[in-house]
Amino acid sequence: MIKFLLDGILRDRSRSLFPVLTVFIGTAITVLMAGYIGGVMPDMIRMSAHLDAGHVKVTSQGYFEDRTQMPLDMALDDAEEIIVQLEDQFPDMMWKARTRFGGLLDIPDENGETRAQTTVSAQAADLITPGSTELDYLKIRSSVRNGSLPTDPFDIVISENMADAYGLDIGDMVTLMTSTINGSMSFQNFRVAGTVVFGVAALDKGGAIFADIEGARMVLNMNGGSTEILGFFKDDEYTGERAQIVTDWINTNLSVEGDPYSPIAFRFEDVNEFAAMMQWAGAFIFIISGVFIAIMFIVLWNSGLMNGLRRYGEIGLRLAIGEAKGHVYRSMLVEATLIGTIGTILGTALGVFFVYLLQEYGLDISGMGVTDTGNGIYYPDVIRGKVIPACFYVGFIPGIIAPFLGALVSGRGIYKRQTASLFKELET
Amino acid sequence: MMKYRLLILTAVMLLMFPPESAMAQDWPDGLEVMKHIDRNMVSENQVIESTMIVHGRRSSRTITSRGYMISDEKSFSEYLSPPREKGTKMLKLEDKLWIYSPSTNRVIQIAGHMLRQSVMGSDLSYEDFTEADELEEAYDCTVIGEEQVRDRPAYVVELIGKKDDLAYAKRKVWVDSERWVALREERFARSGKLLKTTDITEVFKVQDRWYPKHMIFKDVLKKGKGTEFIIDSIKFDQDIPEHLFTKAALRK
Repeated sequence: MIKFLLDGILRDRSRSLFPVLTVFIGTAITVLMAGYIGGVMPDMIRMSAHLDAGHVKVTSQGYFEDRTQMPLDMALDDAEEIIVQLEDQFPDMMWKARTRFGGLLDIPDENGETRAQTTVSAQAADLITPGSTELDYLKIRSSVRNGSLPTDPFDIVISENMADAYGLDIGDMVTLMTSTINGSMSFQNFRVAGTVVFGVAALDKGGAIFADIEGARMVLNMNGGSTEILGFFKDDEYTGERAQIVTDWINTNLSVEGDPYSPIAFRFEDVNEFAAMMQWAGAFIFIISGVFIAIMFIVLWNSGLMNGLRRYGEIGLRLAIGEAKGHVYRSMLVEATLIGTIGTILGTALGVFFVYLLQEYGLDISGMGVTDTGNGIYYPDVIRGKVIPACFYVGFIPGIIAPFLGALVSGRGIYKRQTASLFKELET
Repeated sequence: MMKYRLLILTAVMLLMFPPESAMAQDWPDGLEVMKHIDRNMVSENQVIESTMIVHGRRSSRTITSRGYMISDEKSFSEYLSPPREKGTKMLKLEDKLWIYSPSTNRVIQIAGHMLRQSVMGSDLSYEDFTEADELEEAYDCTVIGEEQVRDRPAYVVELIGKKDDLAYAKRKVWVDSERWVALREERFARSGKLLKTTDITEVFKVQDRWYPKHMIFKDVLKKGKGTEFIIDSIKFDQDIPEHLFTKAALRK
């Protein structure tokens, strides 16, 4: 029967073309979305971890509680000592001290008087130790537009936009006014070593500056301290299970319950809104499949009804010559499944092709201003898909179920035909 | 039934038109109270040595300073200790403020929203320091009650801002009704939210004036135990050289 039906599908294109096209397009989009998620999510995790969250983040309990305010007075006093302990305990990870703080950048005129001022958000990390990965993880090395990388604890790197807005040149001295860890007023002159363009709207447009951690420690009076310690797996491959082992150890061995200054550790996905996002991404393929099943079902149901009208005579004749209604109905279902299979194979091939193109060439979205969601989640400037195993089978879920369901519903009309009136209908 | 109606009507009438004895309290005019305070606080100039103890979450810091003030318009202060703050100077001319930092040898103007930042991590903002207007000029003052504050009789004065650009839209000041010195103050935002409190826990008499000796400032929105401000010494109507109130004096 399958060969018979297949011949019918191939020879009578008016019967199959529209349903196959529907399944083909729906499947291709489903596969493309699966490949997009498969490619973007790991890149997003990598970039967000490098820039902000780490694979594991350690802060003081008090700092984490008020993290949106970045309370400097809740920094980890003994960050360097904690890092030594963690490096010893977890040799497959590297640990980096980072400090975020705010302040006022005062730009002097030729007489040393205030010419302009702007509030800045400073990120301090190890930028001058030879071999430090921070220049790469923070994308500074690849983003330098003018000048050079910092070489001195009191060198800073600023966004190109800020340099343009305030007429700052490489080598200019600026004064940062901020508060120390104890709340004292603190002033420090910094040299503008370089300007950067990140392609990340929040970093480029805002008053972001990057300073070396040792310079920041002197300004903030926090010798050996930092607001955060970020842990990264050396192979840069994040899984929640691996990170859980690390956070469990820290929270069991280093954390003291009720002490706001003692450390507490979180996995990447527990920081900001990553967990929800990662769960959502995991369910995304099923959501997309469900959506396309629903859309294609409605389209193919309608198509089946149209076919039912067009093939009214054919079905009537088949019933009139004695074919059982159930047999006709089943043959319609098998036919729909065959149409779905053909459409799915073609759609999967096209979808995989597009995912491959996205994987190889990527799509530059840096100009769209969507690479930073504003909550610590960063998308790469160039989004890339990835041909993952799911790309080869995910299309079959909506591709076969939808036409089958469409035929299942639209084919019920067969049972409404009255045998007694068939010949009369056929006469007309 | 008629009795009840009469009772309700009487109650409504009393609420709408209270008897003369209930309305008129024997309270002075709000403006008069504030002028009494000014007679204690305002002088041609003042030289103050003070200690500020900032109780942060992590630790407490003690900062000493010497300040020279001419009315509300000009002031010059120099921080004397601790070593990290020593040599830092502040100059206020009307509503403008400059800070000199010896470590950078820079004079930096504090303006705009930076004025709302905390001074030395304390519960006071630069804006609190730079308030140039006299309270009775900037606010409508009304005495709204009488209370005891730390066993002292006090008028409660409500101050409602006359302008939109004031740091605090409303204040409540408890004024000692015998010594004419503030004992407590609450400062509110336009929304009615309490922002800061000041408790004057000790006053002392200097040259026939009652003056606050020990104050506790608390920024309600900030964690911490507040900031103590102690007047170690105060001298009125001194001979202060005019050149002190120039930017050039900051670098000296």
